[in-house]
Amino acid sequence: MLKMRLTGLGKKLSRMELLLMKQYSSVPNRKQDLFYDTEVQSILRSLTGMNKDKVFRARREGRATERSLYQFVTDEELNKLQKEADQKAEQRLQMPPVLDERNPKGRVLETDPLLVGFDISKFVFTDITYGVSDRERIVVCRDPDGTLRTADWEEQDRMNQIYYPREERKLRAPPMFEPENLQVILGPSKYEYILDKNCIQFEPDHPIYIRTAEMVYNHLNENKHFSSLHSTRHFGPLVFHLCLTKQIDEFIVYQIMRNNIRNAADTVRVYKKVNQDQSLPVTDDDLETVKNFAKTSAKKGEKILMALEKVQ
Amino acid sequence: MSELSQAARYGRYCLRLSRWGCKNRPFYHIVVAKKSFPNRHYIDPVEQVGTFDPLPNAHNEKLCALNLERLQHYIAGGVTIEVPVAQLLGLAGLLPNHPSTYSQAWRNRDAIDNDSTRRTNVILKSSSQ
Repeated sequence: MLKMRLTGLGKKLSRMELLLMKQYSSVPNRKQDLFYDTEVQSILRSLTGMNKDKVFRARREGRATERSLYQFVTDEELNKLQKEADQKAEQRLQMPPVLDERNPKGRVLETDPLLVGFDISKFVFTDITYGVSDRERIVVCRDPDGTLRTADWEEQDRMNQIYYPREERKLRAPPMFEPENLQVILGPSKYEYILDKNCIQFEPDHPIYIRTAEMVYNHLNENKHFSSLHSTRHFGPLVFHLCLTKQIDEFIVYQIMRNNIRNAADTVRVYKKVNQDQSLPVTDDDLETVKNFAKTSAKKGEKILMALEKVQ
Repeated sequence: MSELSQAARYGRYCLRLSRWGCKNRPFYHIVVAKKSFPNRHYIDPVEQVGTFDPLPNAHNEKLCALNLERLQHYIAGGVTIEVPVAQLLGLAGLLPNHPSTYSQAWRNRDAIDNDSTRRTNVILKSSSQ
């Protein structure tokens, strides 16, 4: 409606108007709109599970370990501590954001050819005002040809890391993230490690973040190592990616073989929501939902039906 | 006792580059300091408002950090800006370019073509040399 009103005037839409249009469009057109839907989030949460032994397992983090504390507590105190532990576990299972790849940024502020010859290097000016977020920080470059422009994403990331370093994030991306090197280490023991390193090194809308995550998810899906990411914070984005790329057949078979028809049906519901597939009949009955999916949209429908028969 | 107006509050102070770093490796702090005090790094300034690294890095960038909010505060208070800092602020786009920036650029461009005017410390390298 807003679009019609603006274009009806027959004028070229300014940047602000295009931004407003995007904000007020009701059809979800970005990955994050689909991912942060309440129903999708609650289903992904329940699919992730909460195996406390896995969430709180001893890991090698390069830090000195705290000594375990043994206490005698009353029942009330025990319940309180249990609740705190549940909250900590939920925090650890918080899903990293799933975003669309970021748009290239940078615009020219001024051109000044009289400055040519002043220097052969680029000058990069970063604003170190207190209390400004990394994304909104003003980073400006003066090129040797005299152009003054806002920094592009690599320069912005690099300056943020130089002046406001994040723990464990490297200034230069480790060679691990190059596709050839990643193929070598991909395996069930390394999925969580790679994805955690991915989260540390890149922002969620960085193209390399998305590429690495998708490589891991696809490899995992091909080799059916779903249990390796079960009860970790990456399970939700994994399932979301499989639904978006329509590769959930193996995952559904995996759930059925674990006698978890409820989870399989929930996955189908997420699939329907994410792909906005109106033709797929989804009901409250789990078994029926999975059967409907197997008969209509599934690529390996027979495999799913066979698995269902085996389990029944 | 009359309060100095905002326009002249920092009249006795200046924005200058204070050399830190090591031998043959300069590194500057952009600093608000009393104009009459000597420019030594062991004399504490009023406030540090930025840094400047004159040696280019691996990406051929000269990095400069500017605390824009504080710079605006001092400039509004009438602080004297010395030439090197004025050059940096001009290049950054906060202020108009200082005339010395243009004259340096002109001399460097001229030096490529004219052997006679080329001084020994011209930094500009070109393919013709």
